[in-house]
Amino acid sequence: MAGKKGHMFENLALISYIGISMIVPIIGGVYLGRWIDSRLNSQPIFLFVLIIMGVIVAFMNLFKVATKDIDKKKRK
Amino acid sequence: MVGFGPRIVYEIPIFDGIPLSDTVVNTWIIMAILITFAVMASKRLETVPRGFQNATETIVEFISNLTAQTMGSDKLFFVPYMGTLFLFLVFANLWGLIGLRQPTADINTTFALAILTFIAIHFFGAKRKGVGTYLKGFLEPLPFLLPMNIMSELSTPISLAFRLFGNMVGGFIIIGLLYSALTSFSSMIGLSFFPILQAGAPVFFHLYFDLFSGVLHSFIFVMLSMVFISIAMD
Repeated sequence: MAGKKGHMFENLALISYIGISMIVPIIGGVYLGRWIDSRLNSQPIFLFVLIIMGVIVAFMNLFKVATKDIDKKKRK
Repeated sequence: MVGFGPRIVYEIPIFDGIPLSDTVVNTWIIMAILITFAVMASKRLETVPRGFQNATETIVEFISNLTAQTMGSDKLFFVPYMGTLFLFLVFANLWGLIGLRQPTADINTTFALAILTFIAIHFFGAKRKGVGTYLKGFLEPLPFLLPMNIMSELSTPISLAFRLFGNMVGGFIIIGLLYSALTSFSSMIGLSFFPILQAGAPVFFHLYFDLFSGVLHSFIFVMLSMVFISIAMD
């Protein structure tokens, strides 16, 4: 069982991670989509598909961070 | 005006020349310091610690307690990795205090460290859960989410690397700009022979960008590595 002090630092680190963990998949999707589109000459299909996927992944990351401790309690 | 990217300080004259940037040289110096420290600290260990051994044991105990609290006491074999990561990052981020370029202000260093953590997450996750269960985890909660799960996992090291790099290179650039501004300002008011402004004024910025931000971000990097590895293993 983790001590209270360790838990506080752990959660502070995770809070500071939320922002960047949401922006990275979206920007990654934009770059990847543009690259695939320029290769296949299919503007803008892959760009839009990968941006939408990036947004979904951003929320999945947020969900994972937010429900990290809830999952643990359920398993016990 | 020169850019803020890492400079090439030397070229090893084999295979058409291998360029050595100041990042690499600074990393070697930090490695030498840490290795010397480790050799000196582990020599002549006594049951009742005195002086230098006391200080070393405090560091080891701090990292060991932190790992036990965050990851659980069944994952204590991560203490050497986390300790190395933490000490290296603290040294690397504080490198700006002595006026040299921080190795962490180079995306190659931070990305290499993030890839180490990424490999640890997936290797130990697969080892603890079994390869089958681990691969099945990518199909959860629904099988068509597989590409999104892969994207989510790949975004972890990128976020880790870019946040450390961004914070460090931001501090490095602001301090570099501040020094050049103070230099031109002091030559404007006729103090170029006596750099009083450059000596006093940037202290606060060094305190914030090097000391506070540097230690905080090495701590956060290590903490997030611990959290992600323990999430993957539980």
